[in-house]
Amino acid sequence: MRINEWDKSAAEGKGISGVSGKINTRKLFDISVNSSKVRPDEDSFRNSLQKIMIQEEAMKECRGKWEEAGREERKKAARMEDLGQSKAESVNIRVDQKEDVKETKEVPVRKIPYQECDKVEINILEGYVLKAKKDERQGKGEGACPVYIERKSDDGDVKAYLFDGARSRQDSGNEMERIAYAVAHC
Amino acid sequence: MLRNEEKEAEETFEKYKDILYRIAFSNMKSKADAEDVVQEAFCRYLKAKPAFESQDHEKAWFIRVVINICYDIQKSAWFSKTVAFDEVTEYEMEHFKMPFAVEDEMLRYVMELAAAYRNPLYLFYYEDYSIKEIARIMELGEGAVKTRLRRGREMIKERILYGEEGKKPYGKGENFEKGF
Repeated sequence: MRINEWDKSAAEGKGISGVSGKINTRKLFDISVNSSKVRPDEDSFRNSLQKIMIQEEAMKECRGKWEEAGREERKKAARMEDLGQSKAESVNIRVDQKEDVKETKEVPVRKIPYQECDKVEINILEGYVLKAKKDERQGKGEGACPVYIERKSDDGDVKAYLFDGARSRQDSGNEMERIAYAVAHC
Repeated sequence: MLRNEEKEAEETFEKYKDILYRIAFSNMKSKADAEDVVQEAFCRYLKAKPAFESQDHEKAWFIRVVINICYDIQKSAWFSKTVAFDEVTEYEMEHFKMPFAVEDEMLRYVMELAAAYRNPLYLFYYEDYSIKEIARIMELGEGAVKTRLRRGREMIKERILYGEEGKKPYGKGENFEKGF
């Protein structure tokens, strides 16, 4: 075979023997995802990897923002605390670290009549009566004002408590603490 | 009547007249009727001259007699035909003063309850009686007193929530049941 004949047969996709053949002109990147040549497990892995990478980037951004915000909040809180402490100290107020701890204890019931009470609170809708009296018997410490409170419920339950009126709060959520405050400050 | 007896009766009257008047008023809702009831109770006392084990026993006897007299009057045909109002008027309330507790709207609600509930609630909350004492005065079991206290409270709640509409289950028809 002469050279020019070989070129021609090559151009026509014919082999040396002159039999026509297939020219593999397609590249790997032209193969579609749907093609049977790409395995489905390989494809899902690629997708999930991409997703994870995107999520990680987003997380990094968020974390950065949170850390910044947290730093600012902490700074603000510290500033406020310093301010409150200094103000309280300037007007000589003792700042109590444990506000929830109240000096309250259950005591034996004395069954005091209404006429001996400093304050009586009747709460029919809740089904109880509160009887409060300043307790002179218990003089504990300076500034302390013990208040004896008896709670009588309509289920027959009678309980008595001793509150420190000086440490009670007017705006407390506890009814007995409020009455103790009222008796101590009347 | 001997002088000593007269003196004793006077002392007893002075001792109990206020609480008996309040209990009678909470039942009758009228000053005149309440005074009549207290007077009748002392007449019965003088007539019967009962012997008492203790002061508490004496007081409980008086209260029971007052409640029974109120019951008799309210049961009478005359009372049921002439007195139609359950509600306590402003005018009458002026004659009712609580010595230890603050008078509020709740007292009115209690007074408007049926007698079966009114008396336990009134004695428990406004006269500071215990459940045991109320049970003895009203000749009921302690469980029954607790039930009446709870049901009376629920009735008041209903009345507050539903107003006049809530009046229907307000204990009507339970006025004259046993253990009034």
